[in-house]
Amino acid sequence: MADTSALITIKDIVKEALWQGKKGQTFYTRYFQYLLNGYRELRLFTVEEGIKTVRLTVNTDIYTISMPSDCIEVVKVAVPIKGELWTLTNEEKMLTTTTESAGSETLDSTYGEGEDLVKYKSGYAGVGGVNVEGYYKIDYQKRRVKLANVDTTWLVMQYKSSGVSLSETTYIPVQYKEALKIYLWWQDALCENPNMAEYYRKLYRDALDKLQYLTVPTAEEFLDILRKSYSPLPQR
Amino acid sequence: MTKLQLIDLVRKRFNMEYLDKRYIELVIGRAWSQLLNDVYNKNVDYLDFYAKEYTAQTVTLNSTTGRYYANFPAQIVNLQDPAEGVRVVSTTDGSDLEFVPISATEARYMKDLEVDLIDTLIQYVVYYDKIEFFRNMTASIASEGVNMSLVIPFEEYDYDEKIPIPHGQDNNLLIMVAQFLQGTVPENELNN
Repeated sequence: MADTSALITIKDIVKEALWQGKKGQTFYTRYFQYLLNGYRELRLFTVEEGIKTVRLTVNTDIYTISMPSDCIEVVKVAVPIKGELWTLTNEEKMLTTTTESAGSETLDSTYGEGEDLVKYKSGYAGVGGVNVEGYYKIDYQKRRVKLANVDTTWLVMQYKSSGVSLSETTYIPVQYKEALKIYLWWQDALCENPNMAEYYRKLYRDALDKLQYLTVPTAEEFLDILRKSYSPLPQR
Repeated sequence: MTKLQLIDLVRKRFNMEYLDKRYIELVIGRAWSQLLNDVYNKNVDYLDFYAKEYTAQTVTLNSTTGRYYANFPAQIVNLQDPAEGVRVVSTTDGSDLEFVPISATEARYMKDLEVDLIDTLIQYVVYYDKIEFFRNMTASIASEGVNMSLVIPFEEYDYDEKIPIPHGQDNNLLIMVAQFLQGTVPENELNN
């Protein structure tokens, strides 16, 4: 017999929770909404799976990249250099206004828009923590990232995704199943049986702890981290 | 036991053979529905045993409301559940669409929530004479009709059909029938 699958649909988790919890069909939609909420929380606060990496085109008219519709939080805006992602420098002082002209957004240097930032100094006066490939500032209000000093026409963004594809057949890793089922019963208890809510909350915490054990680096990875910190060069 | 046998049993058991069987039928019907509610009010899913399947029921578009609906092929028993006596609704081709009962109030609250946008979920609201489909019912599904499993009242059964009495409840059924029969005019006082 084949091993069970490493993925499960969200619909099947709802069905299993209803069946095990002896809940009728009238709880189906409510449990489904609980599950969508629970899965989002899990991706945001517990597991690493919720981070997506995408390549985005720069709007060179106003030097912005738009956030994908499922983006909850931008983790990184970066450029690839020799196969590695190098994060642009976050600059909160950057001006993010644009000027409207003939119905479209433009940058007007009269108002200081679109100007390169003068931040980096080479030589001994230079400071670290700067990626010379460019600067960015996240504009959550307009759901985009404003850029400066960027020459490239595309960038890589890593972001936390809401993670919920609106289909019953969305597949999620099977190791989340127990935590999500308990989450459903917990939410149900909060509304239907508050006396049991604390019990389910504790079970949920335990289930989250188990999930976090899976993210602990292996001994080999720990050793690599250690080895990266020293070299054969003599230390003075 | 068939419906007719149960009616005859009641008429003989309570010495009411002088009454029309339709009167006894109505009385048993009240007791039978009450019994189903009493026994299964904690988990109406066990009522599936009492459901009768009706296949390929016509689904029609109400052009005023823009919603599809299907009339009941028979009356249903009212239960303490948004699904009432509707136990299962499914497509005729056995596709994986999920039909889920909700109340009309829930439908209003759920409108445009994430769960409301899931495209393989067909919500339905049960009214006394029909079910109305919210979201995701399409013309192609509607054209095939739907299957329904319904818990129907005692009166809807044919006289030669077997009646599923809840297990261990035969005695309670007769007690309830006796209670419903109280007040019936005795034979010697009938003006016939």
